[in-house]
Amino acid sequence: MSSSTSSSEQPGAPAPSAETRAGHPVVRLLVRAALFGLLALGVLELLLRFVLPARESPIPWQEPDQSLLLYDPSVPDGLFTSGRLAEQRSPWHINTLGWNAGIEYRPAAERDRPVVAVVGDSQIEGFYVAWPEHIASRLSALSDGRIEGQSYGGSAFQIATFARIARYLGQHHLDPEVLVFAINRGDFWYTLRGYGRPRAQLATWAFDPAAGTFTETPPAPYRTTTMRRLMRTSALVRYLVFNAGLNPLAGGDGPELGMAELKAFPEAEADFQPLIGPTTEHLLDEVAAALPHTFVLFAVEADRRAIHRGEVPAPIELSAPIAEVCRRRGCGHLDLTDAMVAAFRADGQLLNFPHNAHWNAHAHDVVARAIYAWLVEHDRLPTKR
Amino acid sequence: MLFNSLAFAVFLPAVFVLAWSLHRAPLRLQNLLLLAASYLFYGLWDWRFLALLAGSSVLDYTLARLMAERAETERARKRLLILSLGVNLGVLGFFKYFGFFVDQARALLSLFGLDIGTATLEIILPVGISFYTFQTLSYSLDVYRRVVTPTRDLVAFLAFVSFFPQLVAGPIERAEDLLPQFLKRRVFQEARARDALRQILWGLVKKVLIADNLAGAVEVAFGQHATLDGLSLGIGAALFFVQIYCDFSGYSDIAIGAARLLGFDLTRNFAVPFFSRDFTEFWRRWHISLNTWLRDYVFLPLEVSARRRHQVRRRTQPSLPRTPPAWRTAAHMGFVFTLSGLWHGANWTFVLWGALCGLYLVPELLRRRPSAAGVVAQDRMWPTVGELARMVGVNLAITLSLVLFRSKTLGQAGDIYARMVTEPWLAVDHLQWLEPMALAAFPIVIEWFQRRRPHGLDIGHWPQPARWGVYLALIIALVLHGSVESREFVYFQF
Repeated sequence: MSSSTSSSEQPGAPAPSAETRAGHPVVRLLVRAALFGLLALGVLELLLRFVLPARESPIPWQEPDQSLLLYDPSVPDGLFTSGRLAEQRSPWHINTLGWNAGIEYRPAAERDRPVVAVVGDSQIEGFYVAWPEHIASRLSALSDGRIEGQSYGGSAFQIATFARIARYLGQHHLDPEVLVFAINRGDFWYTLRGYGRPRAQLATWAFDPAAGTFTETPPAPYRTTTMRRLMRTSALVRYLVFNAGLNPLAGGDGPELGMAELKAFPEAEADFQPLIGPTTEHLLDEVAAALPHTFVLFAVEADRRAIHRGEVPAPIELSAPIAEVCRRRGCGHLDLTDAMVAAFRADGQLLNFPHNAHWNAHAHDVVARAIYAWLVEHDRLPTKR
Repeated sequence: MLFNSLAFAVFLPAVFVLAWSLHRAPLRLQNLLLLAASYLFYGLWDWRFLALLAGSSVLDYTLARLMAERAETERARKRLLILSLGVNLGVLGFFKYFGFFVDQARALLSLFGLDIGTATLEIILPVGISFYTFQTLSYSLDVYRRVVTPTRDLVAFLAFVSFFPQLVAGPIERAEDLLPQFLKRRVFQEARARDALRQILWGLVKKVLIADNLAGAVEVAFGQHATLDGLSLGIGAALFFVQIYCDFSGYSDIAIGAARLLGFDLTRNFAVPFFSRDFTEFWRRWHISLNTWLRDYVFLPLEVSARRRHQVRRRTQPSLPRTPPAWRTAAHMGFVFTLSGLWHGANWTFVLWGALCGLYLVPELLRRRPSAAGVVAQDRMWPTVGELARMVGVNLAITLSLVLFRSKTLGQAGDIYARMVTEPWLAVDHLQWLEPMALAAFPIVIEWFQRRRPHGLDIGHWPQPARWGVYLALIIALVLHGSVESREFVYFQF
């Protein structure tokens, strides 16, 4: 029989050894572990700076006019990577206004060709593709340089932010001839329902159905955090946060899902559907006030997951209400489903990255072609100024 | 709190520093710290079940003391034991099997045209309940059998039941092994602590790098089984074998390493099971703490009882053989394995899996030949052809049985077995399986070379630069290719 007795019954328990009394072995182990930890951190930092580059992100900067969260132009170039082994790499360039673009945006009075400006979320922000592959650049190329494509996108930008972009374009006299809103699932939901704290730098709207009016909650001021400062300094932290997706604030290429890949589609719910039309109309009112001569085209995302399964999906739930508004208000409506289905059927190429829901270069090209064809077909391709 | 979470990466060092900074304090205070840490660890998952854990522990503590100090007759002791068994198994049964048995009863009654309605309780399974219930049960049984003297130290007993490294997924410890470690002063040994860190690293590699990365491929195989060919399904099942091994043995390595850091020795739970030459050896090497528990508290009592009855019969029928027939032992083994299947989950897939594993053992039991002893190729680098063939055979059979274990329903398992046989094996290319197969081969190769050692990263005898190089390589691999989804350990569901 083994004997288990109470500790209180063991007054003669062996005294700690001299080594233990001094406490040295524990401290020695901690010191060795710390030294090894530092070595490991150093090696990983070097590896992720020079061999497998961690994502380099530009420094966020909130421009003063519309509080849009753009990027500090003083750090203009870097390499954007995604994936655990930095499989996807594309260089970025921040222009002097703070947008990710390979070109400078000039006021309408100073430029020699008309502009088609594409507005949207991170897909339009375009860090996942190099500028020549970007939808805006592709629009210029498709027109043989007769028009200039510009892009105004940002992470999680939605309808309320689109309205602020329209005001921003007016304030800066950029006045594009055509404004294309790239619409994704979630754009209306997040505008009207908000994000919670992590996205508080984005404006939201509250709708009063009785009065038919919208009230805007402006974006909160952007504040840098210790984590963000650390991300600027350390490639390892950036890798863990962005490439490995360990930070729940930032998402990553594993768990990160674009708005188009939301698992639930709250905008399809019966009580939300009636809000899409008035919200679209309010956006059009805002654009008309800020850019009275600009033509608006809504390009509505398709259900890419279904397309990749070989299906021909129905347009997403935002498409029909927007089309209805455009019939009445004279704006353009382009559902991207047909173009994406045709492209996938033609060559079987995915329209996003294997491990990431954002458009790849192929999708940017497909969407640019669809928009260009729509503008030509509807005689809306802007001509020389 | 998961072992593969950032929270645990902060929690364990904090407990380590606190525990050893108290090494000169009274033992009760040290145990109180471990108890608080363990309850915090468990409470962060769901604080509501802390009361269940504490209640179960206090009940067994009290009953064991009553058994030893107050019960004057064997009958009274037995009553107390039955009370302990009844409460523990009742709680386990309620949380784990209530829905299952209600569903079975409903199905059975419907055969006779009786309808008992469709309402069921939505019962959340408290994590680790199967593990700590078996641990406290073994304490009551051992006190009853006078193998263990009940402790009077409630804090030490509560800390023993709730010890966080092994609380939620084992190893299932026996009171005679672990409880005394709470009752004597623990001495820090640097070499042991260093090896504990190596074991934790190896456990993390198996869990985060191997098991979690294989999970995706396994999900494809089992989730899309209706579209896959026979070979893909076979590969998927084999990958699941490696996944669940790396998941659970990785957990066990982290648990054992974490306990060793704090000065405790836990039972080895896996001992290179892939290198087993027969099924008896396999079950000696796989989930050792559960299998020995079932052996000692279910199988052996059944055998002893059968032998006693046989001896009584022999007195009246001297022509009977000296020992009971082998088929009786096989039947007991089948019962124990079926019970083991049910322990894993309230689903017929688990029950049949257990029964099938028991069936595998029948030929070995009937032959009454001793199982292979020691580790394969003990004094050689490579196995003989015969040993290799036997290892392959055992692993193939276990792989096939695990189709039942992984399938959600018997229908799914049946479909997979049928497709393995009826669908062509080489009609399409299988390149997509190459990466997961290479990943799966990695721990097997490492453990082959380390098969005589307690864990795969037992390299304390290597020169320091080589050791640090290996640690660095593994950490880099974890950072670059480890899964970041912080998947729960598969055995948490049991």
